[in-house]
Amino acid sequence: MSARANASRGLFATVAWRNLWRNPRRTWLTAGGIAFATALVVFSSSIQVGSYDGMIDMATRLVSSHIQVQHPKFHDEPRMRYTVPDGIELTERLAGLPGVAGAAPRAEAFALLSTEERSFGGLVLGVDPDREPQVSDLSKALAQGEYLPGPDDAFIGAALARNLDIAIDDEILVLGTGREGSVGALALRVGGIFSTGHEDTDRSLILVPLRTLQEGFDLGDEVHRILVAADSISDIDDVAGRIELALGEGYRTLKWNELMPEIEQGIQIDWVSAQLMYWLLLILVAFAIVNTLMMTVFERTREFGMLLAIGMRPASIMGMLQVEAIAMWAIGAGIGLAIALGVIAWLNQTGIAFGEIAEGMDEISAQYFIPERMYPGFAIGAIATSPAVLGLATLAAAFGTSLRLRRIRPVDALRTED
Amino acid sequence: MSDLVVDCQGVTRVYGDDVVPVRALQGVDFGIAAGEWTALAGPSGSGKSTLLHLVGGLDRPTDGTVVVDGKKLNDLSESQLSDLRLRKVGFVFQAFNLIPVLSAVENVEFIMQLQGIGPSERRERALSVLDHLGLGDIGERRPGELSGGQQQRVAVARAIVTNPVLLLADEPSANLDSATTLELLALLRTINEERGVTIVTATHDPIVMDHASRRVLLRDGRIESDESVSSPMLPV
Repeated sequence: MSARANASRGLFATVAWRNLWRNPRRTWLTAGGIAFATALVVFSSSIQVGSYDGMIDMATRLVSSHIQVQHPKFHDEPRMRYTVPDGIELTERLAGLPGVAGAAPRAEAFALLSTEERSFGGLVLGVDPDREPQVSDLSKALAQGEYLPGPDDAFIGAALARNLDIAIDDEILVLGTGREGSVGALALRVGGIFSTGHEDTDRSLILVPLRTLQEGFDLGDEVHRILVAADSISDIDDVAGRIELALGEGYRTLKWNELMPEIEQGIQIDWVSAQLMYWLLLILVAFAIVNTLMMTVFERTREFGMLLAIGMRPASIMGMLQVEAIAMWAIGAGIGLAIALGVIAWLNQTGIAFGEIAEGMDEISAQYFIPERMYPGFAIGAIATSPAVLGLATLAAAFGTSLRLRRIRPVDALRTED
Repeated sequence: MSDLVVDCQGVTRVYGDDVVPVRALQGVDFGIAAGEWTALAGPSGSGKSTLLHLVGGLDRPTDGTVVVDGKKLNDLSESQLSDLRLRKVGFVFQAFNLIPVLSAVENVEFIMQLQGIGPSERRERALSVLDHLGLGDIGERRPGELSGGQQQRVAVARAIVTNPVLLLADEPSANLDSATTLELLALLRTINEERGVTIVTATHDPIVMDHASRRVLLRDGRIESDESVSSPMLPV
C-alpha cells in the first residue's frame, strides 16, 4: 500500500495542480478571497500591535513611565507617609541594571495652588530636573519659559496656568499637608508652562525640583516613587523582574499595566473586538472555499466515477482533492502574506502619520495616547494564525465535500452528464 | 470450467425497491473463456450494460455469483474490488473518459502509477503501447486536442497497458463514426489475437457485433441467444 501511495503522489500533485487551472477564474476568485482575508487580518493586526506599543510608550512616557518602585502600600493608599527611604541611592542602583534606559525619583503632594485671585487643587510632583527627562516626556512638552531653571521655579500645566490666570514669572503659592501632618508650603515662580495635549495632565499637574518639595513638605531625603524606563516595551517584564530581585522585600514594583490598567483594558477590548471581526471574515472566506470545492466535486462526478472504475480508491481521490485545495490555499495565503508583509515592512520604516490622514487627529491622538506617527509591528500571532486558520478551513472544506465520494457508485457516476 | 475467465451463475440484479422493482438481470448463467471476444447485444434496457458492470466489479448482483479470474466477486470487499479492477480488468467507456488535464501518455501512465510502478518503467510502457497503437506522435497532446477516435484509442491503450485478463468495453463505438469504429475494432482484434486479451463489449452497434467471435443477445434481463461466430468479420 505504501509503495502504491508513494508512486502515486507525484501524479496526484500534477493532476491537482492542473485541475486548479481548469477554471482559472474560479480559482483566482477563491485564492483572491484567501489572499484578501489573509492580508487584511495580518495587516490590521500588525497595525494594532504597532499602535498598542505606541500607545503604551506614549502613555507611560508622559507621566508614569514603564515601571515604578513604591512603598508597598502607596499604590492602594497614596498617603504622604508611605515613602521609599534612600530614594536617591536606590535610583542610582536601579539606573545601573541591564535593560534600564533611565531612572528618576519623585515625591508628590496634593495641594492647593493659589495666586492672588484664584485657587485650584493640583498634584505637585517633586522631580529631579536632570533625571526626569529619562523617564517622562513632560520636559519635552515645554510651551513657554524654561523647564525648571532654578530651585524655586515651577513647571506648570497650560490648562492649570490658564485657570489660575498666571504666566511666566508670576508667583504661585502651594499649600498642602506635610509628611507628618504639618503644613507644607512653597512659594514658587512660574518658570515654564507645558502643554502635553492631554487635558487631565495639563489641568492638574505642577512640577517642582525634588529638593524643594522635600524641604517644603518635611520629606527629608524620602521619595514616593522611583520611575524606571526600560530600553523597550518588550523588555519591561524582564526589567521588572530584575528590579524585584535587586530590591528584595519592603518595596513594591509596579509595571505600566498595574499603574494604568485602563490602558491595558482598552487594548484588550480593542483586540478582542477586532479578533471577532477577523474571525467572521475568515469564516466567510471559509464558506467561499467550501462553495468552490463543492462545485468542483459536483462538476467532476463523472470523472471521479471513471477513476473509481479503473481502480482508484475513494481515499486516494479525496487525497487528490486535498492537494488541490491546499494548492489553492497556498497561492492565496502566499499572495496575501507577501502583500501584507511587504506593506508592513515599508510602513514599519516610514510610519503612518495620523495627522496627515485626518484633520484634528493630532488632538484626538494626544488625548488617547495614540502616537502622531505610528509604526506597524509584525504581529507574529496573526501572521501565523490567519493563514493557518484558512488552511485548516480549506482542509476541512475539502474533506467535508469529498466525503461525498464515499457514497458515489462508479456505475451511477459514469452515467452523469458532464 | 477452469479455463473460464468469467463465470456467472444465476445472476440477478434488481434495482429500485420492493414496491417498484426493476429486474435488470434475471438468473443469467454465463461464462467467457480465455481469449474470447464476446459481444453482449440487445436493445436498451436488456441488461447488457448491467451484466458488463457486474463482470467488471463495478456493481454487485442481487442474487447469484460472479467469478472473475477465479475470484468470487460476491465475497470481495470494496477495496478488494477496487484492486481487482485495477489489476485484472481494463475498461473502455462510451464517452472515452480520459483525464482532461493529463496528456495522452500521462493518461496511460496514470493507471500504472496507481499500481505503484516507478516513473521510468511506466513512461517506457506507456510510450510503447501508444506507439504500438499508432499513437506515438500524439502522446503529449491532451484529450481536448484529440479527435474522438484518437481519444478512444488512448482509452484502449490505458486499458491494456497493465496487461489485464479482461477488457470490458461499454458501447465503445457510440461516439465514433463508421470509419473510426472500424479502426477501433481492428485495434481490438489485434489486442485479442496478438495479446490474447479476453474482450467483452456491450453494444447495439451491428458493426461491433459482426467483429466479435461470440454474440450473446440479451432481452428483458435474460439471455435470448448465445452463438459463436466461426468467421467473424475481419477488420478493414
